[in-house]
Amino acid sequence: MEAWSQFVQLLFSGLTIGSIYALVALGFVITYSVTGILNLAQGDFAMLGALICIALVNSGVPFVLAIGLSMMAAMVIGGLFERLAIQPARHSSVAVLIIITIGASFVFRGIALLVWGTDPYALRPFAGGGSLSMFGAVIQWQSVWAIVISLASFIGLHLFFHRTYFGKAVTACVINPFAARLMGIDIRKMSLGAIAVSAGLGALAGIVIAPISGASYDMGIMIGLKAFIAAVVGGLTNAPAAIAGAFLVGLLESFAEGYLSSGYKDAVSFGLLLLVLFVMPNGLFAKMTGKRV
Amino acid sequence: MERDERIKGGRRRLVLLVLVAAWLGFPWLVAGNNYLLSTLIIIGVYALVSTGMTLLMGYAGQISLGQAAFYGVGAYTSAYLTAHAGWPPWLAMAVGAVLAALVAFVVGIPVFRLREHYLALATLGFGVIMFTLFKEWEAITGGLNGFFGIPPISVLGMSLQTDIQFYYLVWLFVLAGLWFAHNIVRSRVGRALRAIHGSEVAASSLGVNITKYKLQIFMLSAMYASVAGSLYAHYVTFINPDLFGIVPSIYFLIMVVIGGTAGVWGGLVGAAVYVCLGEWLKAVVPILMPDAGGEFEIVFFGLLLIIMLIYMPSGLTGAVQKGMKRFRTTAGSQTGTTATTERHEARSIGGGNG
Amino acid sequence: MRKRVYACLAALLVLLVAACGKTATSGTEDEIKIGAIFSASGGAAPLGKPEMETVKMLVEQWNKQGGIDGKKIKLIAYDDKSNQNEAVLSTKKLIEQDKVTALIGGTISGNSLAMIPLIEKAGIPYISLAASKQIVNPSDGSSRHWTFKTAQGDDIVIQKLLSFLKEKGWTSIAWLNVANAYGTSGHSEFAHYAPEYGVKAVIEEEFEATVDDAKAMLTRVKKANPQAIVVWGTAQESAVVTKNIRELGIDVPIIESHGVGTKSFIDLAGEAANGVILPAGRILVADQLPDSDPQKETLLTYKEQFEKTYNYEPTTFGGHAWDAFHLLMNAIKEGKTDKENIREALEKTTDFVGISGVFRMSKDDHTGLDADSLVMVQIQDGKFVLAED
Repeated sequence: MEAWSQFVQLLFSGLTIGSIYALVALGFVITYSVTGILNLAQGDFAMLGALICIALVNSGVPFVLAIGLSMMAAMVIGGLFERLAIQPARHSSVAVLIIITIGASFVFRGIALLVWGTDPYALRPFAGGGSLSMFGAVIQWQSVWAIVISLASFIGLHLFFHRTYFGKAVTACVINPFAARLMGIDIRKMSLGAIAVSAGLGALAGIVIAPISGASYDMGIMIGLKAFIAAVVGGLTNAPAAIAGAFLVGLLESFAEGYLSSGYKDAVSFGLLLLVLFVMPNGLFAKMTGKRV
Repeated sequence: MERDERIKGGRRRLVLLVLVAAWLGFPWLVAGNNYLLSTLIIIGVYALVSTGMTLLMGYAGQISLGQAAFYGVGAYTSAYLTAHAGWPPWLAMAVGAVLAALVAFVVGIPVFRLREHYLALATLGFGVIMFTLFKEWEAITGGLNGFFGIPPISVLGMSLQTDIQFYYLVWLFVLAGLWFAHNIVRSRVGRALRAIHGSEVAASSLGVNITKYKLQIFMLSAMYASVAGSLYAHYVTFINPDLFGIVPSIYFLIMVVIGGTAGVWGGLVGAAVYVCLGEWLKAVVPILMPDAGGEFEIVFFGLLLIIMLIYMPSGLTGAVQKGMKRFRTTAGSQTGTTATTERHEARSIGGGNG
Repeated sequence: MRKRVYACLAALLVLLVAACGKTATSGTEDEIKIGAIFSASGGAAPLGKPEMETVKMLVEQWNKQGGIDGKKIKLIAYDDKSNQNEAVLSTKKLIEQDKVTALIGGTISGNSLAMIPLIEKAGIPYISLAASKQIVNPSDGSSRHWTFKTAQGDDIVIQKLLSFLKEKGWTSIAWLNVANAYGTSGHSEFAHYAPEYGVKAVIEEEFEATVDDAKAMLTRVKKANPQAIVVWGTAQESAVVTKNIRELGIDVPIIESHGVGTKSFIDLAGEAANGVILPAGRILVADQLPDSDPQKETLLTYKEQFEKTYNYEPTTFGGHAWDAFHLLMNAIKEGKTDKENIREALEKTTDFVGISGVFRMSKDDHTGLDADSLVMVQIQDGKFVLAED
């Protein structure tokens, strides 16, 4: 019975953090699929979303409105980032673009430091701080929110890509940009849109995790890296696989922490990354992947 | 043709003489100001790492986001072997370099089979794993509390304790490193690398063993970083894992970007500019923005990275070279000679013209 | 041709570096130069910023009142950005270029330890604000003739904690520390002193500084059934762990480190913070101290002045800086500008009522504080309350 409740506890911890990774990983996949860029600043959108939301809530803005506004703010920042840093360099090599996103990550973090300092900030949970008990394990309601929101986002995006005109246009850009252009689809707008949407998703992830573990200027780094691993594990262009990858990484970390030791948690995740890269670089759920746009 | 060769040879020797004179004379120039010597020592140590990286990124076209790990291997090997095992420092440094090369070999084999994004991610992952190792293996590294009490290094029985002595030693290494890199670039290996960088498909169809050369340069860059780490350890006598994590790796990357990969000197230029910019910011920022602290530096370097990559992807060496080219062609001189000379420059990072 | 290019670059390099260092104008005769290095940005900024602000505020105050024996104090302060290399370079600059008479600072232990060899070699009185006992008592026996510190080492804090545990009869406990230098330092001290107090750890675990959810690790703690849990970390990660402990329904008392003695912790941990007990400097509960407490007046004055100048509450770290500054000023009053005399005066400090405690230095003790400089504090209703001491 004890062992079982521990297992369930670890399961839920893993699912919680996995859902955060999933939201951010979704952003990665969207960005990569549409623009072919690996955005190493993706995690920092989570940080910006969380901190902006806290600032809004603390100055009296109603909670739900604050969430919406901070997501929009993140999307605007993402858009600016795309226009100012990515577009001018869109013909550069992959390596250069990756390094540019690293530079952007520094800039975001530096600005966050200047505005908010190094202190951690707290955000109240969405629906009160309670938790529920299941099979002898305890899950915070906020964790349930996290899991639900990430699945809902995925379903929403799936519907968007497959049922709406815009979504199909984006898919067209990925599959065959030349043909897409012939059909009157503006590739550059797609690039902007993709990064903006990714930023919004990242921001949401940050807002959802903030009530659980606080928000500070450097929270984006590890979240971004782990979500990265998730996206790679799933295959960089495959959204559902990335989500599965995210939950896998979350669960792996949780079980490693629960049954082994916390110090090696990061090494386990990155070890998984290296394993996947070396053995199955197209991801564990390898499908036919298109070439980079 | 022969006369040009003799002129070039003469010029080369002159430049070499100027360099050696500068190296020897600098301490007198600054009247033994230890702070400046210190700054130069740090620049020198960084220059070693970034020269290795310049070879890797500029000539072999491989990105590395975890180079500080090798820097750490050298530092901890030297620290442990000299402080706890009583080995002579030079032997420890050599062991460190060999160890770093070995790690590079083991990691490089699977990593260099990957392409582009995956390669970058893999080097990042490698960096994080090594950092975790430095942090957790407390018996050897002292973990996060750091490792202090590293004994000094000695040359010909004389223990190096002062800044002047260390300055000479470090820069001797830097000059040797540059000379060695220059020779690599002009050698068969260098030509093979440039072929690979230009087009892997073409190179491979010409019979160039891509993986072997990439691996060799990776191992070499690891050795450069490792030696730099050993020197640093003996200089500051205290090291801790934070010096060898992802953020320092990115700073080394920034140095290579600033310096550019158009020439072997890019690493040195990048390191010097980076350190001097840092010091300059330290002096200027408190005056302009009294409340801002080091946060501004992070934003500054982030912006610098982005701007340089967009507008000056070949870095400073590339920009200077282009400037000189323009100067030469407008002056209408010897374009013929340059056309027949062997070009030893590399393309900008990751290929493509700057 | 390219060689000429490179030669030009080399010349440029030389000029660039030379430009970095302009030797400071040797100070006027009626100025005393004090050097300071704080981590006012980067990871240790919450510690270093109040330190820097405290010292700046005090220098201004003293200069308004005429300085020391009529000589103005010139403070040259650098931010080492929580970076070891910066600390080393700044130290060199202060010693060689700015030619300071004494040095205060080194917010983090790592930075202090990197600075010390330089300072000892140069022979300048130095007061560190970091906690590690290696700063004044190195295990490799190297010289600490010139180095002092005003922060209680983890050895002192741990002993206070252990004696409290022993008093309460909580002798089989769970030990959790954050996986960084701060946490591991506390852990080694605990491992060293626990047997003396009859305290045993039934389980020892680490948690990451970036932890989001520690429940996985805590399931093992729950299984081990401790009488109390010790959480050794700073505000953010400790808050997560503290919340998780209560969420798992683990009811035992939680004792934490002095690192959570900030409002930030209470905000982050919410309801879970109530009941947490920690050893802390008296500044946290200054107004609750009995009037007979020798530190009370000094503490209240400092609090008032700091809040007036900077609009937020001072912390224990700012307090360490306050102590360092005053100790130095007193020593300079006695030793004038002779470094050895200043150093000797520092070493002879007795019964100095500071913020961190009452200092009693000696040749073998360059910190001058013991466990009495701390009090046990409990969080009740979101406030720090003096627990019986």
